[in-house]
Amino acid sequence: MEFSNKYIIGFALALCLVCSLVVSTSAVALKDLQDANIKLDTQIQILRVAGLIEAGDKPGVERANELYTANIKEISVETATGKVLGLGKLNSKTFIKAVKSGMPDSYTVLEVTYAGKECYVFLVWGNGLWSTMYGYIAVEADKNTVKGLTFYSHGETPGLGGEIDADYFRDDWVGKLICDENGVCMIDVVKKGKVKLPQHQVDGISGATITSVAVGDLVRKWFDDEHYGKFLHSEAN
Amino acid sequence: MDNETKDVLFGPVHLKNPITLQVLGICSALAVTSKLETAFVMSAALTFVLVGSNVVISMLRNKIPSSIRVITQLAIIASLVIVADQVMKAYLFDASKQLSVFVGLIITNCIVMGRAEAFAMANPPGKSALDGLGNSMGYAVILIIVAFFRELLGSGKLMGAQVLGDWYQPNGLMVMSPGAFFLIGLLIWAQRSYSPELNENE
Repeated sequence: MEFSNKYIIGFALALCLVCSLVVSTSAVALKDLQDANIKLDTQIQILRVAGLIEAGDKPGVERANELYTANIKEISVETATGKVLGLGKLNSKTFIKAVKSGMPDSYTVLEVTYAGKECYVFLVWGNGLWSTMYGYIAVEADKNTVKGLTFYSHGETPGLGGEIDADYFRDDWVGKLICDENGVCMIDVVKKGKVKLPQHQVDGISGATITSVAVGDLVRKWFDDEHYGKFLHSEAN
Repeated sequence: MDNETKDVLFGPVHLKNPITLQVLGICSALAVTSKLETAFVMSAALTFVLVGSNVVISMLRNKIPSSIRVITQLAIIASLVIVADQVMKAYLFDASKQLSVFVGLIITNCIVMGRAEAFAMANPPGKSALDGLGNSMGYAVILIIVAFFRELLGSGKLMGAQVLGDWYQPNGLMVMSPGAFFLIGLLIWAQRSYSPELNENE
């Protein structure tokens, strides 16, 4: 069947219109649900990395919100000195955007105040093999022992680099020391099976060495003096 | 069910399997099969997209100008994939996080375009839906078999639960993409030994 040019253009326009309508309707209609999912997921990640809930525990919206507001204090810290300036508000989106043009003068740390589980939670991100990996890292009140690491968003290969959010990799971070006694940053991820300093080094994921090493690099980057380092080296407030 | 329907629906599961015979959709078959769970979710997402695109394209088949045929199919497939992705982000958040980019990559899955071009453009919607379903099953069967062995041998687990004890030393090769290649190769071998009529004549 031959079609006139007019028909073809009309068909293309109508198709585009219908397709865009379908896509935008589904995106708009589901946005609230998706945002709620992301917010709940963020809270669960923070609570988990801070050790306030167990690894397999999945609290609902209310309990997560309650645990979060009751036990987590958002504090603002000056980048250059590591001094606590007062209460802050962590808005990960604006913070991530701001860091693109250099580390801002201050940042927000999540201070977990739950008795017996005091720790600090930092937002960290960096480039993996395919994607930017966003996550949280929790550091004990001594400001040198890692309490946990978790990634809430990444596009690494499922089953390989994607295992950075698997339990075995996360568990391996617990108890690692960021700096040695001389204050030199030693924490790192090494190729699977090549751990020489078990107090500092995390075993990589087999089949995903690039992603694993990238995770090590991003943690080291965030704990240097340009980023969160000054806060970690400052005395407890 | 008459013979023709049976052939449209079940043919792609064995004798016309899109993965082992046409060797299409290999990218995702390698990427999402290291665990059973992701294989199931991926199969479901592909079923939705393939049946949907086959039906829509078949309904429009006499209206689509042949000069812009392929881009029309692509626009329809892409829209369906985005809808599937959005729905998963809203209702299956954890699974969509694990599959990450691979849901979006269904757009480039040759099975979808292949069925649109080879079947839906020439057959009525009902039959095209069956064809879509059949091919999705063919895809799903291979994915699930591969994922079963990869998860079991690669990490000693099934559906995330430990099934092999401490004595089992996980086979790292199975977790990696080459492991899927070996398994798919073995499957093709097994299938052709079972049905020798599939072998090409020298």
